[in-house]
Amino acid sequence: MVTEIVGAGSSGRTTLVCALAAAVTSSGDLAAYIDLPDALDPAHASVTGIELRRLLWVRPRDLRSALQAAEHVLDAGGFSLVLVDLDDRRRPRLTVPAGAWVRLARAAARNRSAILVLGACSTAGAEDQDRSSAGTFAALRLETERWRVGFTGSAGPCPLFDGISSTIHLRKNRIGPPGAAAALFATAAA
Amino acid sequence: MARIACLWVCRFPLTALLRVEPELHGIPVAITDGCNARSPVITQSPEAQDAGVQPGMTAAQARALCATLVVRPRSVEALDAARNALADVAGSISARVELTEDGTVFLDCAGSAALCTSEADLATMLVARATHQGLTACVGIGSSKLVARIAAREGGDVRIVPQGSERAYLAPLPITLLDPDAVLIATLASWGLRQIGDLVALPAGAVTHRLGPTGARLVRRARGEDDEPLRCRPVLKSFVEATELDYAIEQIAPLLFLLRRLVDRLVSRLALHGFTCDTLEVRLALDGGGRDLRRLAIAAPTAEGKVLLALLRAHLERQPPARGVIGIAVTGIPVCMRPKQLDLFRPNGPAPTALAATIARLVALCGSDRVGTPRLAESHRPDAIAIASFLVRSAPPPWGGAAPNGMYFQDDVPAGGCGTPAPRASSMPFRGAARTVSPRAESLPIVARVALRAFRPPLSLEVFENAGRLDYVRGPVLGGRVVHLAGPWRLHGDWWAADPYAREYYDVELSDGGVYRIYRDAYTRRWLVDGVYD
Repeated sequence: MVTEIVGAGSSGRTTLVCALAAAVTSSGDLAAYIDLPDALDPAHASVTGIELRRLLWVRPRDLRSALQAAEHVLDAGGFSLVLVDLDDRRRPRLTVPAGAWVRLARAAARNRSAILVLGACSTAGAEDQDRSSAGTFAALRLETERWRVGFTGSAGPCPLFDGISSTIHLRKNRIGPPGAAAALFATAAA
Repeated sequence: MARIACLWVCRFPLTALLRVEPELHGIPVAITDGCNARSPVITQSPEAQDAGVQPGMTAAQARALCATLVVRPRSVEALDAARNALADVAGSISARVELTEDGTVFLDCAGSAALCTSEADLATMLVARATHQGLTACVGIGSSKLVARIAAREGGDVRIVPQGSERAYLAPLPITLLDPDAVLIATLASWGLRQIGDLVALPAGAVTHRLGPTGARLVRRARGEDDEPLRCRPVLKSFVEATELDYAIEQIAPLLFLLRRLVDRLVSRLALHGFTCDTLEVRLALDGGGRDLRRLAIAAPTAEGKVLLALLRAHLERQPPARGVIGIAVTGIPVCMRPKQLDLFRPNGPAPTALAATIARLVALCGSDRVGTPRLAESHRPDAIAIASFLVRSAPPPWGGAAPNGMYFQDDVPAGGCGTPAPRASSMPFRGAARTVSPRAESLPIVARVALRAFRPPLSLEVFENAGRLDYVRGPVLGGRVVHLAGPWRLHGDWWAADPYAREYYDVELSDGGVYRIYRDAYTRRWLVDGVYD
């Protein structure tokens, strides 16, 4: 099953993805992170709770390699969660062929894995939607919306970044009704 | 009583060549013992034989007889590879294998009953496996090396000499099959002996009296008595497949075409032993002299030819050979893939073989430095990263494991090993105004540590200040007025190394909606952004 997480920058998408990976790896399962933008920070990933030794980190050089890598990982079996990060600000016009999503979805179903695709914001009009999104192939689509950014003591001599408060919207749901929402508190590391 | 099997390949130099160059099947081919026109022919294909080409002719004479004749010099590397491939076929059945200089292979059949129902099945299996290796072999099975070898040479594809019938089998065969020297052959011929049975019919003492120890040994061999033991081949530490070219290859595509053949043969030989390839070495002989040696350490041992070829392709495209290639040798260092004991209480990971193949494919696709498991770098440099080989380890037992410490729901109480107290509704993690829950949220909030998306390498920024305070930030993927700001935090280190750092870090919220980690390099006075909180 393909799940897509989209949202604007600093809306908590990566925090949500890392939290899910942390839950999977902490339970003893394996996860894979296909990192097209080369954006994973191991230090922060460790702080978010990901058990790094149970995470396979793949940093492909282009979109085609990223999709192939995801297929390879899914075909290996045994990975409960495969994260595909396609949000690359330096390559904003990524076009994922529809056939790739079909193959990924089938491979995931065959090997009982979950695919989580992290894409860019899709709140704009349909004609401006990011073409990297899974579109109709996504069984679930979550959208993160930043609610507030926390800074403590902004007026004082020593302000601190506290974290980000967001809302997670369930925009699409093939196995139930859409429209639910949940709050996400992304707290800055001490 | 011992049972010995023999694998013998007719016209071995020709078969070794056809194994390397299968496109020569069905055309006149002659193998010469040298490269010039006066080099003698040592063997020829049936098509060349039909055209009148015979061993002993010079290459020029053979070409005069057959205009379409393809003449190839004997390739030592191809012969070695074929001999070892034949020995690998035998080694897939028995651990006791002898490899002779002429390419004949003997193996001890003891214990093969566990693999085959009969000796006929064993022989058929050997023939099939040799054919899969590109070698048309004949198999003979007998009670000694001598009988097995004669049965292989004279008996067609498969010949089994039953226990106790050796003397009857050998009797009608020519006496030259016992490999006596020329003087002895002449002596026996002068006595009127042509068949082995003729020699056996003579009194052994009389033959020994006239011919000495050589005659006594010949009589024993004629009776099928051969006490020569198997001289077992040591276990190979590397598998080599090689070919030589008549012309230089300048481009990578045709080179890969040849490499695919070599790799496929190498992999099939490894598969005979149940090995996987741990390291691949490629030796390219260059036109005009010189060699190009490449050693590819494979991230995860694999026995898939496609994966190895993809690794080779990536390596060759990154570093093409300096000149044309006139010879290729591929060496595989084997490793045994050991089965893994599964955990009774934990979910199964990927199968070790599948994982190894997948890792090798990913390395071929992305590069060895871009696949692995993230590791905390032993450095205080904020953007330092490290990556290690991905190895599946057993998870801690469920009764001693730690709960996830990065994500917990508000009503959950984290397990004792977590060390992070569960936040209550009255004590949200935010100290400031952001602790307010969005009014659109319908369920309990999720609390997690904020993650950072790194910009690797860091991006240059333009930062405008107003009254000594950061006011506006502009960069390639971001830009806006500074809404909130935290910092600076000054970090410096590695002053003892060649690449020291001294930075002033800020966390800034810009009017474009992003929260970024930016810094000013104290050495270059440049502003850079190395991540966005997301």
